[in-house]
Amino acid sequence: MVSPQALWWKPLHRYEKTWLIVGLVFCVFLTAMMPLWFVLGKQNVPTTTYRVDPLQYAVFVTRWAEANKVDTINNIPVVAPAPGSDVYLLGRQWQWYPVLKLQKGQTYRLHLSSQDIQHGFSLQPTNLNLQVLPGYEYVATITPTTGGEFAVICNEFCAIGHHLMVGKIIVTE
Amino acid sequence: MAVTTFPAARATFRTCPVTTLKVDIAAERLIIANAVAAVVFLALGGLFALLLALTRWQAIHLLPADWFYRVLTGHGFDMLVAWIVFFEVAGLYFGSAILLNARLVGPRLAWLAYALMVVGAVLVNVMVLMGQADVMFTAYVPLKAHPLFYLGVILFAVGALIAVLLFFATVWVAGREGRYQGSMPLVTFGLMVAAIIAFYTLVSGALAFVPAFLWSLGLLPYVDPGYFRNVFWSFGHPAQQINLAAMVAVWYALATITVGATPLNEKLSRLAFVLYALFINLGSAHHLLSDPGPGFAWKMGNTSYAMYLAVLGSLIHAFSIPGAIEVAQRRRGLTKGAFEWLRKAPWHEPGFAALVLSMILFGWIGGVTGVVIGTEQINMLAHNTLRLPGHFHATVVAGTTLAFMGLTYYLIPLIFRKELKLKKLAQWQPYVFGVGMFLTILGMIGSGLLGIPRRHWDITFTNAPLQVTLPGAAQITLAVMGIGALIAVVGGILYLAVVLVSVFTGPRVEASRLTLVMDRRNPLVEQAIPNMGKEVTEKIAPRGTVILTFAFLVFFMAYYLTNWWLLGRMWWIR
Amino acid sequence: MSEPQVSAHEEPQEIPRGQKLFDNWILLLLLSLAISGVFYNAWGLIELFTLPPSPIR
Repeated sequence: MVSPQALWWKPLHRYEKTWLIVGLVFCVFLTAMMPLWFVLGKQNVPTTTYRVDPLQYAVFVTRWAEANKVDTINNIPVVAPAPGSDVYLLGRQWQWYPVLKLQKGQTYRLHLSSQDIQHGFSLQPTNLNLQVLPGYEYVATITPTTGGEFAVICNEFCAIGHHLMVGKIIVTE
Repeated sequence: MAVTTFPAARATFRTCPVTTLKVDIAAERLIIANAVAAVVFLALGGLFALLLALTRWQAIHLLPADWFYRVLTGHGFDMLVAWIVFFEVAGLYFGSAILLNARLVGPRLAWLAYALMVVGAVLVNVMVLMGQADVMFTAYVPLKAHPLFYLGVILFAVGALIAVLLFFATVWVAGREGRYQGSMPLVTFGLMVAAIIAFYTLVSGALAFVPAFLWSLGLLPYVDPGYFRNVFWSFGHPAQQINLAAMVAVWYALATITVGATPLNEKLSRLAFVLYALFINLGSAHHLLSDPGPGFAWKMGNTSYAMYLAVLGSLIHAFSIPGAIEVAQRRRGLTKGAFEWLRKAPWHEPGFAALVLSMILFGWIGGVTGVVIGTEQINMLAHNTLRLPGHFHATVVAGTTLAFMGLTYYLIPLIFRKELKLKKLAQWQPYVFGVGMFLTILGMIGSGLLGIPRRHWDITFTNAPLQVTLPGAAQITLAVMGIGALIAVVGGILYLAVVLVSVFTGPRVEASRLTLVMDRRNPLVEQAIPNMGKEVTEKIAPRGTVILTFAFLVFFMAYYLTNWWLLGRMWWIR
Repeated sequence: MSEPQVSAHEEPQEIPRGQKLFDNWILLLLLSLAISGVFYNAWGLIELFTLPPSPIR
């Protein structure tokens, strides 16, 4: 609150110098962790995105799901795609379409987009969360490492049915 | 030392008997007006907070779905924008006109700014409560609100921008008129950095909300959702960094007021603020880490605030402010062991309690969780879960709001010129609010770690077409959040009670002391002013602070590494 | 509060360049806008607007 002396550009106390250096080292460490994990880690943010027309995406996914369905749950097709293939999920008010049946330890290219507004892809209980935008096709190369039944809930507010928006991914052992 | 006064600029001053500052009456009136508006919106936002907490506490589940989402929108705007920006505008006028013994430039424009902000904020609240803007404060396109919602935000932002420009003008004119010599005080410099960030914030806000407004009117056919997210967050996050810079400035002020502390090294403290000014806006990218679109380099480069240099700024303040307090205390003879200075600090003085609790909760919880969940890959674990509100309630509420509450108690005798009433309540208030928020935050973070989403009305998924069972422990974490919120609301009511009773009862009276309850009446004049720039000798060097800051870094590292471990247990994804 | 600094010698002290730099808030404002505008906004928006079209047919 008080005006400083006329000349305040003074050398640091040794505690301050030490702390500054320790802080800087910590910052470099934090910075380095991200590219390191990018190269070495198994969990990375997907980096493939395409521009897509929302309606076109919706039509495509519906055709794909109907053509490849092995079952239905609550009128929603269940699709069991081949390992290594492209797999599609559509978010819309208020469902995730279709239900996916994947195999543990196998890799898939999961495509995510929205038919209408923004949604939040939240896979539980593994707690994997991605934003889903209309007009943007997000492609994630995923490998389920745990088996069982997984819920896909929506965690981006999407109007009044938001809390009813649920999907499912089944992972067989 | 020539004082060149611009022609036709007349200002009336009074001299504060306690601080010896020359106070521009016009500036004082505007500080009061903005502070009052701030508290009104805090109260409204606080009422909304209570309703929300009692709804997310599933056992109670108070509001129906549509009202929950509506009130959540209002709560977000009233707290993140209205309460805090009104208070900061008051702070900007204080830091420029009052602290520099100068006149506020353009008081009439300042009143126009105030009117725009009030009209804008009221318009937003009315549209929200009428159910015309159930879009959350983020209003993500293509979710559409009534045009008047966007207009309200725009009017508020224009008003705030005018206030920011008047702050710049006031500082510039004060220098030209020779109102202060040499460099501006550190608190003013901190507020200057807040204003610099605010300029970018408000321009970004225009670039987001004006197209959205035109789109809502049907004048624009389309606003790209990815564009909106980029530009919205260059409004939304720097808006919170204004809070950070202003809060740190308030911390330095409270340290001076309550224990007569002075900056140990102006160069170091100012360097920290400069790092904020240059790099902190880049951190907006941490809202977009789990988004489609930008690649790794953009996400990583920006979320790290340029190699975490802005975080280094915070680390500097984390040392410099406790260090300044410790040195001030050691100068008075409290040199026994590493922590006598802390044990014998004025914990019963409201401003000191608010200062310390704000720093601890902001730093240890808010800052740590922010850096961690803002790490590019770790973000996937946290994005849109309740961990996010857990983080920002630690920064904005337990940090900034608590510090601002502490400062208010001093503005009442100094600016409002009323005696502070209900002093006992004021002494307890920071602790009640702090503990309440601590529990709220723990409940939120715990819930988020279990996968509980934010902005969600019903995590039991009753009536959903597919069955979902989220972990049962979430019932406990949400209850902890609910209980914490109840305590925090009590803390908020205590604050309102002290402020309202003090401002509206009793005669106008000149302040006779700077502190409120502690024995020392004026640490600013008795200690801070005589000790400005004095050397820090071995005897008074801040050993205790060194221990505290290293302990902090160890905790930081542990929480950070634990999160990488948690990430490693997730499905493989690239 | 700002008392004018009166030294015994009335000699103008040489203000270090770093101190003058930190006092130059207009420069800080411009740098802040430039850095944020380029690295966060411009670069980020360019990444969005140069995305390839979807291979979906």
